[in-house]
Amino acid sequence: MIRFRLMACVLLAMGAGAAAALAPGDQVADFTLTDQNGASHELYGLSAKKAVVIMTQSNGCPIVRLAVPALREIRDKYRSQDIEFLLLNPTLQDTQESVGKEAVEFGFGLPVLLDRTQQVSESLGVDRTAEIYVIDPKGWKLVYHGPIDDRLNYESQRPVHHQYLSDALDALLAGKPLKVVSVISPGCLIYFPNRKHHS
Amino acid sequence: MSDLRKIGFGLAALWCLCGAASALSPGDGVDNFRLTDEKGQSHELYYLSDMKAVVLMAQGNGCDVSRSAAKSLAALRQKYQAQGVEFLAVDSNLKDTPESIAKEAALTNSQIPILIDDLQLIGESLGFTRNGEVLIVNAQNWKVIYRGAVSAGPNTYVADALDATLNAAPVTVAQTEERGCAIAMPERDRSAAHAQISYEKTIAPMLSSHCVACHREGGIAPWQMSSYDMVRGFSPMIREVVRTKRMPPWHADPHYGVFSNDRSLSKDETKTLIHWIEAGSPRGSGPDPLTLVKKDWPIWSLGTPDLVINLPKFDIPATGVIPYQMWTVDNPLDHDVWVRAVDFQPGARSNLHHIIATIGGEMVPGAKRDPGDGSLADYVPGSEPLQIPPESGILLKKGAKFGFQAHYTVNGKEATDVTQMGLYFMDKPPQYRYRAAIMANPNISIPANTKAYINDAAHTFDREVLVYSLHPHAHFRGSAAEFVAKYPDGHEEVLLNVPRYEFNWQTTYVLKTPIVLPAGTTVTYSMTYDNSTQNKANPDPNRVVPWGQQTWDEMLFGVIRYRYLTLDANPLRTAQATE
Repeated sequence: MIRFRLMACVLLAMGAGAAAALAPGDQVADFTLTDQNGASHELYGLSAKKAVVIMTQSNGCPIVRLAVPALREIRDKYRSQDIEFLLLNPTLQDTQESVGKEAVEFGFGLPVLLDRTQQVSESLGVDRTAEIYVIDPKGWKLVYHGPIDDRLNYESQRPVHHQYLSDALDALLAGKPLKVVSVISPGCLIYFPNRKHHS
Repeated sequence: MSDLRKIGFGLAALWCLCGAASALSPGDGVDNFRLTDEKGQSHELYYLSDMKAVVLMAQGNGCDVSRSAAKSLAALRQKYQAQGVEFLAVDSNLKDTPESIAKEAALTNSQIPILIDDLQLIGESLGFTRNGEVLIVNAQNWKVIYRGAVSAGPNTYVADALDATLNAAPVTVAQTEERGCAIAMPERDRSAAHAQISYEKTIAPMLSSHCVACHREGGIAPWQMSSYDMVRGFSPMIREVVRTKRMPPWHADPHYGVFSNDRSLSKDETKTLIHWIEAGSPRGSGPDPLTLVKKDWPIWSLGTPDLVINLPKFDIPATGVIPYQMWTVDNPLDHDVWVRAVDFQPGARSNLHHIIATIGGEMVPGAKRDPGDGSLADYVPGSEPLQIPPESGILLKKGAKFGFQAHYTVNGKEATDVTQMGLYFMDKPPQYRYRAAIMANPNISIPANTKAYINDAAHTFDREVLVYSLHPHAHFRGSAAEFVAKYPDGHEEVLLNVPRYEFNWQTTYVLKTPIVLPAGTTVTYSMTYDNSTQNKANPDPNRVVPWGQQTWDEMLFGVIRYRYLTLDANPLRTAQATE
């Protein structure tokens, strides 16, 4: 009887964890969002690109403020490779105006997509700012989810040992399998009204 | 299936469902936390990311099930620690005190650190209900692998779950029932009451008094607590930084000493804030105090200074690592003065992380110091001006030079800083000189790839003194600090314990009531250094780290500010103090 009882628990536990985030290999659904300047961006409209890189952002998060310059560097490095780089703001508190101000103040130089209803972010399984999503337009598969590199944190004096994002893009461009597809990402937790914030 | 079995299955399913609603179940994520153990040492769950698994056990003094579980886990620890499994106990019982927990630890002698969860916030979120219950967490993804009893009869649940995890195999039995002593948790079933906590009357005023000094427009904090929407948006983050003791930036172990510049939230405030966030950060009704209050931040809170010193102009880049800036600035005065107060006006408040001001500059190994040289004052964000007790003062001699160590942080945006230091003078010489005792070891050498290397330095007071404040100082690798007094009669007292030293916050701990140390008292200042990869601030764990002024080198440097308790018959020749 004990054995049955335990089996039941295992099954239930697995069921409870089923509503998980998007995993590498999963397809990303199409979406259309406007950016801080009012321009519209449709994911599936980027089908001619070799990759789409999305990084989550919120105003006032120190980690993402340090991450944006690192992302810009990578964008510049791959400038000839036709890769789309986008920021995604999943918050309820930031407005088009305040995001526009932050983008100018910190010289983002990247579109910030405003996900006012949080629906896109919920479907991507966004947890924190500074999370990178690399999407392959061939089949719209998520190929990498995690931080830009292993330095990103509150501090930035550590040298980089793993360039996760560059490595993922290199592999994708070369048509090779990615060595690392998912890494736990530091960043500021995002408030989602329907999500449990107490584990 | 027999009827009996059917009933059993049904009951099990029901029990699991009930458990799933309140407790963490296998597969659920465990949020990060930091707690101090019975020895005053700090432990952060996610620091253990170099481990494969972490075994957490609910412990309670005097509970037989808990003692028996601790004994079993102690044996498992012998076997599994070398394979990358860390064992920690968590005591969430309100009746257990740090002293009684230390006694229990000595009794069970399990060598497993017992984390003191006196606010019960961690026990609540882990879903601990009974002492002796075990939670195994996968340290590679922070998900629960197993919860329940250590074992039952021939079933070695914890050992089996660890074996499976170490072999990357699925855990067969992920949840069992634990029948240990119940933990009284009065807040556990009060979620309805937590949803009624008033943002207007409780939360906003708490944030106003503890946080807004920095979390305001122009403050050093990266975001502003300017409205309910902002606070709600950052509420999961507030919960994380409070649980990990990153914020508020106050790092003294509350078990020792009372400090006048304590920036922490009280225990009740912390519980209320976290429970409000866990209830979904409800707005409730009433006006939003954070949008209404427009506090005036005075330029010089003590009035116009008698002398303003401009520090050098400094251009701060958008990113990168900025070395400590060391500046020498001439004292323009042509006569000696006594300083009663010091204040700072940061130019780029968002970037200036601290200034340590001295007369004569920071101590350099081997260099001779003028008797008038020494500490002056520190600036850290949110700090009050230094006001020296009325009967003492700091002598600033004509021709002396000011030394400044300035630490800037980058925030993604370029800026320019010109900070001002304001000095306030005394009308006449004080009775006592405000003194500094320095405890330093310039020969420090911190081994590479070491998580906890301890070094110390001591100072013996040859006269009876009145101690005002304590200041531990280290760089990126400093991880914990302690000041311990050994009195002439031999007994020892912890004056200050900093379980988690944070180099970004160069705090001077000002005693609420200055303490008297009799002549012959020796104070030992010790610093623990974390020169491992697990220290996320560490620029190079492979380096043997020597003494140096820069952050990539290290210092063992502690300061005690004090005065002699009694007047001296022989006044200082160079000063006009009565002392």
